[in-house]
Amino acid sequence: MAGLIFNYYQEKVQNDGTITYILKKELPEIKAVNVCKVDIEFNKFVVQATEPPEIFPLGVQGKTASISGSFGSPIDSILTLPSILDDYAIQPGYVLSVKTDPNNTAWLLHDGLWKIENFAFDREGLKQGKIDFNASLIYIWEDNESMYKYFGEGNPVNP
Amino acid sequence: MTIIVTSKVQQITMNHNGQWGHKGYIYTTVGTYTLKIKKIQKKSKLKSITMGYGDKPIHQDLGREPTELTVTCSLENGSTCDSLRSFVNTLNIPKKKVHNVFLPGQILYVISNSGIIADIPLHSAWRIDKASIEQSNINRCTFTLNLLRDERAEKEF
Repeated sequence: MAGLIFNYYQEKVQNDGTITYILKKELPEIKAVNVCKVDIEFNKFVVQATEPPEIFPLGVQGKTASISGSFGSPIDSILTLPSILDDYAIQPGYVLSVKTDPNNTAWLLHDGLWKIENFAFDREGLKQGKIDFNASLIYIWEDNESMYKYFGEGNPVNP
Repeated sequence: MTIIVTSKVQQITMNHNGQWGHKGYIYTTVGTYTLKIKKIQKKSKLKSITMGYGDKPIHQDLGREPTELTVTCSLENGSTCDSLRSFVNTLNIPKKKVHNVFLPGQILYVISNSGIIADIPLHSAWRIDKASIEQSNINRCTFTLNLLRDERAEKEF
């Protein structure tokens, strides 16, 4: 059964400031995802001097994801996956989106673009073609999407 | 251990205690959730500074930080990712993504705390500071919520 496949994009800023994403390739299939996690945090200002302390919300800090898993399996030959180990194969600053994920192993990442903050590989000699990875990703907000609207000012935006 | 909370968003209004021109807040309920709690950590701390100049350090208290709670839980009606996904589709939230269920900045107001008495009192209000959703390889979705007690908000409910 097929696993998780990411599309890999390069971000290009145009002269007028708009950003486009150029599809460069699709990454090899990720056969197993161990953990996929999304964190969201908010900015606040806390006044401790009052009793009780007061919290002022200032907006959302951002949304980050971490994912760990493995390309290939222990019985695969390493020669089947040399392309992703190249220095320039997966670079920070490039962007990923889920192309296929039939088993929903990383459904938290669906429907969005995620910029690579770091991507680390981890290999063991005895495990041949199993290449473990850890990645940190930063969510790229869409133009019409803003969490700030949901609190602090205005009304929540309808779906 | 389960608790039932309502989540509320805070909006600013220019009417306070019936007087226009004064800043006030209104709280709109977004949804009600039953949380199955696996782990709770509660922390209270002092805000202080210590200045080390001279022959004797000077310590000054600046007040207390809001009580902090770290809760690891899952939604009762969505402990597997598949059931959570279909549950999210039924919610009246902007963009039907699971990330938007517990938006940081929202307030969780406790309306039932069966089985938990001291950690999360009834009718307490907790501001979501950070929300983490983790999908494990056995297809379970777990939330870790960092909550700050908002005693000012709970007086208004």
